[in-house]
Amino acid sequence: MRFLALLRKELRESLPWMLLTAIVFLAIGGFSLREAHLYGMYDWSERYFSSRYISETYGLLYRHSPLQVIGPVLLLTSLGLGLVLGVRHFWIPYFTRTWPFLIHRSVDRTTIFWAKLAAAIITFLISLGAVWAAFYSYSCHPERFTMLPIKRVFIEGWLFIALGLVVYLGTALTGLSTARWYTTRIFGLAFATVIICATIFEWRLGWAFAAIIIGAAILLSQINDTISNREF
Amino acid sequence: MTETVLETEGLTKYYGSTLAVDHLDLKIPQGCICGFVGRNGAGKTTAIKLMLGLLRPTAGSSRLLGCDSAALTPAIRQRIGYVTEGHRLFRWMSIAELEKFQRSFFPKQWDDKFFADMIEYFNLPKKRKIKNLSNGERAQVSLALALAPNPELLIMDDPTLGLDAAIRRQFLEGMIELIMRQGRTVLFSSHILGDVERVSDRIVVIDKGVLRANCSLEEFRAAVKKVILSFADSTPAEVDIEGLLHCRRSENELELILIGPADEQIGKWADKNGAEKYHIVKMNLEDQFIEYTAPANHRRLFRWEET
Amino acid sequence: MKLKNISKYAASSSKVVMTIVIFLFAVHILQIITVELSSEIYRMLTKTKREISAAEETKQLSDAEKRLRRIHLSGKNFLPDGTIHLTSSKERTPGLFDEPEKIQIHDANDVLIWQGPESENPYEYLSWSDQRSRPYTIYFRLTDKQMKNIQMITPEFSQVIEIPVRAQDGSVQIWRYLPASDLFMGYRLDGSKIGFLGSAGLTRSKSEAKPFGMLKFHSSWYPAGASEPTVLWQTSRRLYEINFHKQQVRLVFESPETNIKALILRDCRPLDAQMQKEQKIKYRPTIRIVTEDQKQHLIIKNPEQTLTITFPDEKWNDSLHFAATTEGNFLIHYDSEIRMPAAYFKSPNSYQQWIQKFEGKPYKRWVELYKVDNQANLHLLNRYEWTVLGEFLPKIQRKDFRVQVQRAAMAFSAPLYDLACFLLGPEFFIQRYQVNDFFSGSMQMIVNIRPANSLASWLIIIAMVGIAFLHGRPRRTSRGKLIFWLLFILAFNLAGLLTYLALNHTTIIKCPACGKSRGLAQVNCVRCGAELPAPKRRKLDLILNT
Repeated sequence: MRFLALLRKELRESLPWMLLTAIVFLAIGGFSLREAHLYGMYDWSERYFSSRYISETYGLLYRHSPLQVIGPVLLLTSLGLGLVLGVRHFWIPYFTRTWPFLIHRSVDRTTIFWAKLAAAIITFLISLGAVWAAFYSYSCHPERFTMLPIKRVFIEGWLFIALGLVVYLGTALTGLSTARWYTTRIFGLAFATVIICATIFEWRLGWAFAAIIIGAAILLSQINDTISNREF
Repeated sequence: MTETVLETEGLTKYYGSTLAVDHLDLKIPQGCICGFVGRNGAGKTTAIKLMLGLLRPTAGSSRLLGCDSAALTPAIRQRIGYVTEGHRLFRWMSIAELEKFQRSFFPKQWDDKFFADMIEYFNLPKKRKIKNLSNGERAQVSLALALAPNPELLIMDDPTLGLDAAIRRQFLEGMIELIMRQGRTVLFSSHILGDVERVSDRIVVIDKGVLRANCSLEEFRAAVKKVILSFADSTPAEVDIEGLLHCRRSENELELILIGPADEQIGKWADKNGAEKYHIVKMNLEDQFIEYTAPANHRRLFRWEET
Repeated sequence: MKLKNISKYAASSSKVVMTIVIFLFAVHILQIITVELSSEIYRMLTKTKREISAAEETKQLSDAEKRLRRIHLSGKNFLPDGTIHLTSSKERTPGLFDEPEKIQIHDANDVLIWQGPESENPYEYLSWSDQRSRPYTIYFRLTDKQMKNIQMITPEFSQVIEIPVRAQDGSVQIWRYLPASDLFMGYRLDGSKIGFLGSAGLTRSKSEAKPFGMLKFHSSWYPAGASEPTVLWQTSRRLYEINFHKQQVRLVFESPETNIKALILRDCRPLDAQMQKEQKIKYRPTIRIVTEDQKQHLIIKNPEQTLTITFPDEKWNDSLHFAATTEGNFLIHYDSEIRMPAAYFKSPNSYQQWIQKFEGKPYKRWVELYKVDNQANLHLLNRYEWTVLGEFLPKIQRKDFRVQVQRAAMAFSAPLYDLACFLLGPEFFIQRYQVNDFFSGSMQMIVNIRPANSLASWLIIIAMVGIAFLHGRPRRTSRGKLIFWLLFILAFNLAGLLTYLALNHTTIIKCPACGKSRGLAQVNCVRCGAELPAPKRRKLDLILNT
């Protein structure tokens, strides 16, 4: 019951950002995808079968999924949502001095953190995950796009959403740190950036997810320890 | 035997190289209303946060309701009410939502009727958001939230800061309501000695992180005295009266701040040293506190202070 | 309780890992910036100097030397009978921009035999695979590196390889390569699946298909008159020919012992056949496969012929070209005195040691034309030798401050790099991340910027350990912790010291008892053992615990 109360409170605080992210992603992504469908940007045309084209390309093509148009939008909104939620959950209480009130609740400190994390995960799932699944489903119909859907792209979308959660954890750690900005306080965000670089330049999905999981585990263990021992 | 609800032993806290609390040894018995007073930067808030486990001590220990402050369990926290400095609450919540949130942590203890009565008494609409409340109204909500779970121990950090007289009076009346319930203990820090005088039965004075007084209010009031002695000629070179804290000289007068001596002893000393007359100035708690915590060799800055 | 301890240790370990990763990255970047900055400054300083010296050098050459220079710069072209011609460009008349390019042709004795516009050249020479001009500039190549690149997770997601094919019934089929399974999957535009093409041919289900193996290289092979490409798909040991139009797979070549190192095609495209109509020398489509055992396997068409040529020296493979014509099969090989023997490749300094012998001195180069018979034996047709003037040799910049700057930067690198290179070998780092320029560059930097056990590096490390010791002694919580950090700095150098300072910079105060510096992590002073003293109580303090 206490955990649910904390979760409700965190979800309510995340609600405006959840809605904003969902609207932005839906609007930009939906518009771009619809344009791609209406103008047949990913359809096969006769020019691909001309001998000149075949000669020039040795007969094969590097092809992007139609979801290419919303990939950058998904990544940026995910990273942005992670940053904003991290600030909302861990920095704003510091500025509004509501940490002592929250910490004095009759729960373990880590329960407070897990409630925040659960709220963040739910926010990501609803505002980005559900919309992403809807976009992928939209692109799967041959009437809309003659190109067969690429399952790997669907997984990569979830990877971007996971990266947003990593940024959230990095922001959380930075917000909870009591060090000075010019020393180690920024390291939470810096480490999240390193994880992003390690993932984005990777070609093996397994390794990319491994980088995210390891990075998230490192951040989580530190957040757990910091929130248990931090002074408010 | 009265149970000790709050106990600190050698509690010390450094902020960097600054000593904020220095070997605080304190015992607060159950059922006591303890006023925790000190000047600005004395270490009151730090001490309270150490007791509540919000800060980690550099040395020493603190126990609340028999539990180490650094490891307060959720069950113990349920028995402690805490009113934060500045009454910082979630601004986006309404009073009703805040009540619902707070109630979740006290499923068995929460007194719905009491909370509703308090809100009604303070004339606060339940749907109003915290960000739309004034400082005083927020303080009222804060007090209601702290009292509704019927805590055994109530700790308040400068609860009447920034409140007008009327709101302060209401706030104190709320405190008295809790005091009326048997076995409840209150520890509150304040700058307003009038409030302390009104409700406390025990006073703890902290000065530059060091405990300076921990006694009943009557004992404090009785012990701290100001005596003004007039002399025909010059004042005695040496003032060897028992309990002398401060001594201020003017031409023919001696102003002495004394701790503890009986009125007869003062009279005897005056006679012995040839004072023409003397009188014991009646001080309120605020004056007593100021004199008690004044540094040695404190000079009055303003000329009118000498009259 | 136990779980709490485990999570506490996990948290402190992860904090150390996170901090050292960030600092290694930061130190790495700083080193790269320092080295690159010094290179830029050096380039700026020496640029003008180089231009002036080149111009001055040309003015100072004698007629004989100018002749040698011309011979060196001219093209060495062979006729099918083995005759060699030296082709050089004549300078345009100043001001006449429309003047066509003129060439001069000299024979082996440097006698001028023809000159005029290049388009009117009466001779047709043997052309080699690298010399053949391409009429178009855009083409897609696919190697294993590019295959990984297209699978790279980017903001626009990864890509797929798809081959559009017009089927025999006129419908459009798309064949998509599945990197995870090393198969092709075919589908129609209505979304229905055709099947899977693997090394054993077309199958209906994925489980029945046999994978090709990891792609190493791709190219296309155009049978005469075909409008669809026949794809050549090379794996480590095999070369397949895939005809999507007919949905057939044929194994063209399999290396029995070693991996395929390179695949070179020539005259395999329809446009190549068109261009040939205007030429006297008719070339035959050829696939040349170079394997790691120094052999060259030639698969020639029209008529079908397979030859395997073995060369004595690995470096031959880098400097030879092949041409299969209707008049015979030819091979051209370039060589010089300054080609470094394989034994000198062991260390980066070897090249410097070898080339110093030739600095400023003339040296010989030569080109050989061979005819390859049907038994793959080489018959020398002609050999031409010429002298190169010493000034063409790249000058070694001895007084180059970039070397000192790089050495100074390297002195701050982690000795752990040396240990890793020693245990795993430098190739491990370079090959590991070949797919991506950023990471492969970074890994290469680790190999280049490792301290290499230098004295300066060890002196710096000792100084850093000393700093940490002086810093840590008054703050220490346990001896074990201090020793751990000292060893940590020993392994990670500057990054280690920064990590230590970041995670251990706690406050120190003067002990009221002994007056020396002490930390606040322990109640007792680490120097004199005294506890933090309690404040002096005033006699008049009203502390009455009633």
